[in-house]
Amino acid sequence: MDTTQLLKGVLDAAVLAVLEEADGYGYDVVRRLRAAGLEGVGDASVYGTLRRLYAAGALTSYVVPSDEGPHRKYYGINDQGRTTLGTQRKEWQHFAGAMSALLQTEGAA
Amino acid sequence: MSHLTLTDAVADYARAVRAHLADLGPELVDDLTDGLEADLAEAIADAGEGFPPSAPVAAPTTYAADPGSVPDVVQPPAVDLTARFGDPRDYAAELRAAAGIAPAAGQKRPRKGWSSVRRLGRRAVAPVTRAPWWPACRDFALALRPVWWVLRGWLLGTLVIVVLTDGSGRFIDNSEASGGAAGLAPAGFLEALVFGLGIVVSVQYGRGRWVLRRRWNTVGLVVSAAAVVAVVPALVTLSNAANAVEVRYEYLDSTDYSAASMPASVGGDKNALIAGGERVRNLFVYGPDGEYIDGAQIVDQDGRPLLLTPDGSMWEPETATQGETSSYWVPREDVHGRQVWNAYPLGYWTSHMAEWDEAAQTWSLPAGIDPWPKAPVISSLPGLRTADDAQTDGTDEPADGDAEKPADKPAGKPADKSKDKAADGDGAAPTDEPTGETTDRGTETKKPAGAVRTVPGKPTLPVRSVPQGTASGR
Repeated sequence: MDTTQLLKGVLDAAVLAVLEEADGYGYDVVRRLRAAGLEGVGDASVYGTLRRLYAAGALTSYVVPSDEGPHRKYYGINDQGRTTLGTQRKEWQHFAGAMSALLQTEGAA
Repeated sequence: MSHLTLTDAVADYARAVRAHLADLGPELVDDLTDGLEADLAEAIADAGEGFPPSAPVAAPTTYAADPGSVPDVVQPPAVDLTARFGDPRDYAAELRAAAGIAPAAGQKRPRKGWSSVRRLGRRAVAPVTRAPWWPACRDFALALRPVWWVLRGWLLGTLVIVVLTDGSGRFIDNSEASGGAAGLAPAGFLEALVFGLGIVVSVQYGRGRWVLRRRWNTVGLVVSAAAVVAVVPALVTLSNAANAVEVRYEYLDSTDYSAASMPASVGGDKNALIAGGERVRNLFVYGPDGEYIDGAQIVDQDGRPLLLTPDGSMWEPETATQGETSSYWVPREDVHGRQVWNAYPLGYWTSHMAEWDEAAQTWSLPAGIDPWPKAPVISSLPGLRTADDAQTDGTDEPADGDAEKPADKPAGKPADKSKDKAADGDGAAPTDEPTGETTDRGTETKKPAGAVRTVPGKPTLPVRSVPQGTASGR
């Protein structure tokens, strides 16, 4: 199964979920998604998603200056993002439940 | 050393990604790629020698300028960023797609239809692009790109000139100026300047030196596409214009003015003889001995009278420097007093030489002004090898004329005189001596410039099938 295709549909929810745990900057989010088991996630996809969610008002953003190297742009979830995440959670659980049931039946048969 | 290489590679990669996003405008690009170098460097470091993930804001993010400050720990075995992140183009595309920004160059709306069209196109040309010889051909074509840029600039210049000059092709419409097919070739300084500018713009655009923003980029594409379409006909037109003389003529009584193929400079007048893009206003005939022949009658390959003017006058607003100009031609008359429009030179005058007759509402030539033009002074017209003339000339147009109506044989035709045909008999007598002298074969006899041979113009010309009806009365 093409997991990158699957990822595309759920990347928003995944990114929001990661940021719900803690604020993070671009590559930090990538790393945490991979650590969570989504190895196939693309760097650029994550950065693009962060930017889009921010533009949609689901995220806040702030810059952390650094003495070593460049500044870092951190993202954090806001209320609107949490609402979105809640909705997506429900949708995913419904969807995942349906798919699990379906695939299980298929496997049994 | 590898630090330098790493930071260079990161900077290069980031620059490439930004280049592929350039159509979005600097603000959006900054927004999308803010911190890209840091992210890339950190990802590389992660992939490298187990750089501790718990120390995100680390030294590898020191890019550019000061490699000395980069800790030794950042020494990835290889810094091929494409191996890790893929092609910068794909990276940029992924960034765009994830950010919800349309892929193609600034075209947000037609995205879906357009991309499917492109996909179709790519599939259509796939058999070619997959061929083993394709890369060589493509490289060859790419090497020729500068030629295309120049061509495009030239066409751009043409477009500008045609638009600015309202199609006449010249900024200063001077009928004496050398022709040129509607601005395709520079006819003066201004035109050359416009062509030069067009070429500079095109080449700079082609080299990517002048990057156009969104809407203008579309304009650039449209101009390029139009140039692709126009280049072949334009080249054909130019090569036609370069062929020195273009000759067209029609019967005097032809009233068909639909003439689609006439150069604009004659205003669609089908009954005009064009040479070098200019209307021929008069003809002067010189005989085989290099002497001027007054009143020579000229016919075409079918024996039709060769005519310069549809109805004896022409209104030429475009040649006027002040007000409008009308040109008038005056025909000879045959022995019966009928007008002969193909005996040259024709009398010629313009309204500038004339007086306005209020009663008749027309221009008329004041008494005492002679409409008959002087022959151009040509000092070096050589005589011809008359023996050859006699052999090769006997076949075409005069023969036709003979067959139709022997009695009509024009008197002033010099070629006829060297032939031993019936025409010679009625050859209107006055001057036959020169050809008589030069008929000896094998010798090149150049005639000394003697007295102008005159075939009496008005009264004595016999006439052949001149369409009298439309010729007269204007």
